[in-house]
Amino acid sequence: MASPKVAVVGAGVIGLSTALCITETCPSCSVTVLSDQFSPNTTSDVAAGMLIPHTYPDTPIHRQKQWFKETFTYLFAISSSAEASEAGIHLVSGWQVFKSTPKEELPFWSDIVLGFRPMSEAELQKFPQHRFGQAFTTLKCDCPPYLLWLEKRLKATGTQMYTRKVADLWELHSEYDIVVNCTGMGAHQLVGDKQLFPVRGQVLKAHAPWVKHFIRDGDGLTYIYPGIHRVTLGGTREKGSWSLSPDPGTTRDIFDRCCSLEPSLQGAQDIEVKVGLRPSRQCVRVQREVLSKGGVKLPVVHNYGHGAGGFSVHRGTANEAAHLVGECISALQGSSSRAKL
Amino acid sequence: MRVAVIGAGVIGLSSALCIHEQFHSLVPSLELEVYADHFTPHTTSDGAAGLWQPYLSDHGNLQETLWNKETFDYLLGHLHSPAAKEMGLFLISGYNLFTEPVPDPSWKNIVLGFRNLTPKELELFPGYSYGWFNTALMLEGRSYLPWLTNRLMQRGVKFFHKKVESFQELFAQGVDVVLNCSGMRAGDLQPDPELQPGRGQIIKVLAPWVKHFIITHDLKSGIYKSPYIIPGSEFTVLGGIYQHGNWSEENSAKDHKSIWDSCCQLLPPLQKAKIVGEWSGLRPARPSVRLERESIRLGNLQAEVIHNYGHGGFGITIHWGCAMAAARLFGSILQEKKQQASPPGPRL
Repeated sequence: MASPKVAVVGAGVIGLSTALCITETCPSCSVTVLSDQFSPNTTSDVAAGMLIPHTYPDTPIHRQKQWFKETFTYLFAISSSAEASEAGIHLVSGWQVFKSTPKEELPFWSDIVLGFRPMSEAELQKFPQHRFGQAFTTLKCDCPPYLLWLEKRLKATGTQMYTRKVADLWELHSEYDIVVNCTGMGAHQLVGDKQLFPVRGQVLKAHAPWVKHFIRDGDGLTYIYPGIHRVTLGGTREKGSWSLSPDPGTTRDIFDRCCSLEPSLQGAQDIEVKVGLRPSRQCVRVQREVLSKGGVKLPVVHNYGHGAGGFSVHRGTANEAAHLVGECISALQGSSSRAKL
Repeated sequence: MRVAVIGAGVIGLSSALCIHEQFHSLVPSLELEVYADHFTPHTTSDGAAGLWQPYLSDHGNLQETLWNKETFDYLLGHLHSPAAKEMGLFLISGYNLFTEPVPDPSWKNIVLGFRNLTPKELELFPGYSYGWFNTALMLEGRSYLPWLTNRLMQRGVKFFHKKVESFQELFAQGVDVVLNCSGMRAGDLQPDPELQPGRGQIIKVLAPWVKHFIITHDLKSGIYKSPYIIPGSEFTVLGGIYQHGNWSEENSAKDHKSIWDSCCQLLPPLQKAKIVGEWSGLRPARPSVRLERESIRLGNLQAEVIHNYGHGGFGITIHWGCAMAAARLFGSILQEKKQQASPPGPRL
């Protein structure tokens, strides 16, 4: 197989980073990205893009840690290069605070982020309702810049990108040798994955350039993540809600909760409200599958279900998916050489 | 009781506010006036980035360390007040970088979360092998000075746009106490060979992705001669110039190149930052801050001057501690005047 044709369905952070990894591991591949939405209209564009991992209940911790480590290392290098501002990647320090001491004082990722340590008594005085906290420095991927930067890198490799709604993976079997499914929430319909469920998140994006630190309540519901131009204020975690319409009562509630963590946010300006559906699953599906219909085979690599942790593990899962694409190619080459015999 | 403050930088305005807050109800006749030839945004304080951080060593000057601490604690207390944004006050964390291990600074327990840098953090800064991380405060002069001015105007303090040529000039008009907060130009009012300019130059850029201050140190060259990057609320300040004895307030192309090249090397993403301004200013440097009373005889009158100048590159860092000390000196002047006015008698 001289030039395997690979279709990547989905153009959020997972689709674009997976496509990029495939071009890196398989330079002879011809990669095409197909998606009904591109930045700034993907779920990724709503996310703050903070590298603070979500824990997937059914994925082994060592695998999650490996994904996070690869992602952090990859972004760390970009953050100190001249491309950092274009890619939207920057370091940010801050605090995760808890109203009651967490069961797990040392999360699995504490040695991957920078300078992780418990907060001092003096630091905790800033948060009178909280009794315990962790201070650390991590990375943030601002969207749209990061997605636009990925698109630019892809175009430079000759990757084509088309706006197209794929209703059935079989639509692609005549044009492509391998399909990579990075459809996020779309996989619910596209491949009928009933284990995939939305967790609705509403956020505010505000102008408050004096806020230089992130603040996250350990319960995961209230957070303040300063980006390049705007601060993301969150949030909600509404399991099973499919609504993409902003709710005004929720907006008020998010603003109040964030102001109680950071009173200076009362002076925030130009507040925009956004909603995204976290494509959630008990474990991220990074998996090969061979679909079969009427004697025709279609190799598929799935890479979806990252829920609340997409940015934190994107590069790691993209690497793994690209590796699986490599296995698909080997399998196809193996079977085609058998056909020749 | 007429009190004239000479100078409307951070020292003059904060000293005025501190004195008015403490004494206006005790001294009904108190009239406070501020005299300056430059007001915000044209003072030295306006050019400073506004980062609270003392020099590396206090040279055994514990008094100054205490004033620094007083200032930090005072500002920290205001952090959650509704005035914080208007004051230009916010928390900021960042890095101090060295090419060799150094002793911890006098202010390590004043700031929040002070610690050494980890090896992985040092990978961010090739060429530096040791460093600190801590959380400190920013107090932007461009906001703080107008805020102080508003507070003073609300209190009925009067402002006069004029260059005072001598202390005598004010005493002849009936001023009782002069607060000399004239910074770099104190030598024009009274010669002080210990006061010398520490010329600085800065480049202002738009680099909103920078969320930390980064201050490098070259122990052989001295303070502020090594690149530093300080992100504010509207723009980021790049600096690294300290020229002792240089009175020029003109921007130098050579210094611009030195700042730009060294800061871009320190933080490569800055290469894409847009330059939006440049400024030079004179740090009023002195071996120690001059904060003391001086009684000046004018005929049969005793006139009082409280000197409060020579804060070098740490004016914002130390200002409130000095303002409080100046207010204490004012209090002792009041006490003496009271004792002179009423004859000595049995004390209750």
